[in-house]
Amino acid sequence: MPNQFQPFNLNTDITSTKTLLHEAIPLTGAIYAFGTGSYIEENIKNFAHGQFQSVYDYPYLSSSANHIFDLTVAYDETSDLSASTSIQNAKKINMYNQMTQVLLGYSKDTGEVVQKFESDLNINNDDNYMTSVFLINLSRLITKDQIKKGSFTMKLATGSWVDATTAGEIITLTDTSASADSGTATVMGGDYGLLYQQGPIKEPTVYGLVFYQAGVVVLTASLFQNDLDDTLQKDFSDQLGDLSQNQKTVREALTGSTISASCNALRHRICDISFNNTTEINSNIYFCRVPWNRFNYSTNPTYVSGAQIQVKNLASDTPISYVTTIGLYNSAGELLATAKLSEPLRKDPTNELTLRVRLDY
Amino acid sequence: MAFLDNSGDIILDAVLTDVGRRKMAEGNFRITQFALGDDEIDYGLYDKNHPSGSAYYDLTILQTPVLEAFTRTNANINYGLASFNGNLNLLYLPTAKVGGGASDIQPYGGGGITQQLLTSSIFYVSVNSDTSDALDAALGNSYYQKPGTPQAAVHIETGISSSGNNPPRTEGLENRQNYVIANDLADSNFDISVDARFLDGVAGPNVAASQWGGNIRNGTEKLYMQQEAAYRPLGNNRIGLANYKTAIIGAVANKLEGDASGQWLGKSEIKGPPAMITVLAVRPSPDLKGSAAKYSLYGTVAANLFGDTNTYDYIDTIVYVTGKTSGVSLQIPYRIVRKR
Repeated sequence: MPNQFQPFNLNTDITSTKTLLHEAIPLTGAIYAFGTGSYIEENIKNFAHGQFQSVYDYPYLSSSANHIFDLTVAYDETSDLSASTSIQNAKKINMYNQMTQVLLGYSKDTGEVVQKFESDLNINNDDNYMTSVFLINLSRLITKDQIKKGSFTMKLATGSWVDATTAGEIITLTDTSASADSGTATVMGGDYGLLYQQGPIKEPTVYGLVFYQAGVVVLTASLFQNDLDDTLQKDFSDQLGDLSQNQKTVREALTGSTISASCNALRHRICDISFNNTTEINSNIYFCRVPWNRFNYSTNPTYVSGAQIQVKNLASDTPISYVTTIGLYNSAGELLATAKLSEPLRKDPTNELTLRVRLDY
Repeated sequence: MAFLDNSGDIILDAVLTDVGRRKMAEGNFRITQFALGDDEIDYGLYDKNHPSGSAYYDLTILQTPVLEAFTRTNANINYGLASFNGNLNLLYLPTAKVGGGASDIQPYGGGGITQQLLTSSIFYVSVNSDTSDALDAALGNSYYQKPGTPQAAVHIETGISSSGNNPPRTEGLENRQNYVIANDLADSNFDISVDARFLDGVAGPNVAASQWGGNIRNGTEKLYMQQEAAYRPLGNNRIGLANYKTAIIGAVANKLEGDASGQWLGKSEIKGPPAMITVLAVRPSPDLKGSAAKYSLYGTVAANLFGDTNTYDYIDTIVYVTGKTSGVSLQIPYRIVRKR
């Protein structure tokens, strides 16, 4: 159909753009609260290997369920929690090493050992270590290409087990100091920002990290340790049948409970998580320029009655056609993409059109 | 100065077709040209006699709801908008018609390829000699196409299909010259698009050896078929339908004149100035000859088609014909038959 094709000028009719789309993602605690969530633990999946716990937005045996995040606990082998008597000691150390080597990489100046999480933006100065952490690995389904910098907010209950959600015991962590061009650092796993407590500052002021591209949130365990000697706060966790004792401090939970039980305790304390995700859309924009003397006729079978063009009485009448579809073709005449107009567009020799077609990748 | 009415913003919803996705996966995705379509439009709704005036002529057309883009079957622009070398004074456009029905495209003289005739509005294609023998007995040899060099082929004619003898086919070829040739509406080649699962080649006329008309009284109408070896292999998919591929065949100038006696009326499907004529034969895929597998999957098996003692497997398929110059198009139904 040579009379039906109009070539593009590849220099002036095609351009590329990049657009960032953001969606607000509220992950309300009612979905995953331990024991009392909307689905009474049916949306929480524990595995035989016991290394992490998966959280879904619906009972996970249903095909409607979407994976929203994973939880785990981890500590470094240099942490004073690390001991052969600790429950799942090797697994907790392995989880720490796995996450740090993927997110931070290796410290070459100290003999190829993995870096440690630090509560600052300089990962190389070997201070402010976070050696005992909770990890929240957000699903790619909800973070898309990355978490929007400066949009992350998390509410956590820090009081005792019973009154964890009592007003005054809830803190809000945000990465409010991060933005697209400042307040973050770049490491092997992408950019990360610091999670500060919003409002009254507790010490230390940074309680965690958020890795934007990886979609990983790191919370220091000391967040739940009101007293470093563990003499006051005795009930970070209080779960029936949790091995040797039900009521545990965070230190006791990390050493004396399974990863799954510690994740349950953390879920008991997460009130809400919210952030904006980011989808990066690369587009090609094709400017379909229709000159006045082109596309004024149609090969549509209804265009003629008998042999006469329906929109004309005389040969000298203006030909008219109506555009509803744009087809984008390769040089072999194969249709690669189609675009539809929302309504028919009249084309006759008195007008020229430029139709803008966007193809997203 | 009043504001422009922009309540009807034009919004484009662009999607990749399945061919586009495949090309992208192959790293071979390169858009170089565009075409415009109007498949939803019924130009019969254009009311040139609307009592309220010309502003109302296309009111109904402009209210036509437009469908979302398809990605697979029918993703293509089936007909599309066209340009005719900037000519804005056309009043008549050509159409394509297939012979073989009540009004046949029959030569005056003998010789050449026989016109294939329709059977229940469909053209039959035999896949092997057993089937040919059975169809010969049941239908006659003008009603089906044999494998190899065909003995009959579908005749396709283009031209101005006049209504009420306006414009007329004249004795002499003045109107052909005025309405067709002068406006560059004669298709020397046609795109033939077939379902490549069932057909693997097409053949057209031997253009150099063929002649159609020039003088109705001398019996010079003969179309010669290309030989079996000249079957055109299928190339790129040019119509956007899933599984379809396209090949090109040529055409012969249709110079069959009108005459005062009206004798020509029984010899042509086109009642106005003629344009071109061509013949078409299709070649079934080899795996349709011996196995019933595809028939079972895509067609019908063990059918008693003709009330004889034989049963047949068959697949119905549509072949699309598109003129490469004028854009005239035609859909031809084929039935590929195998005797069990």
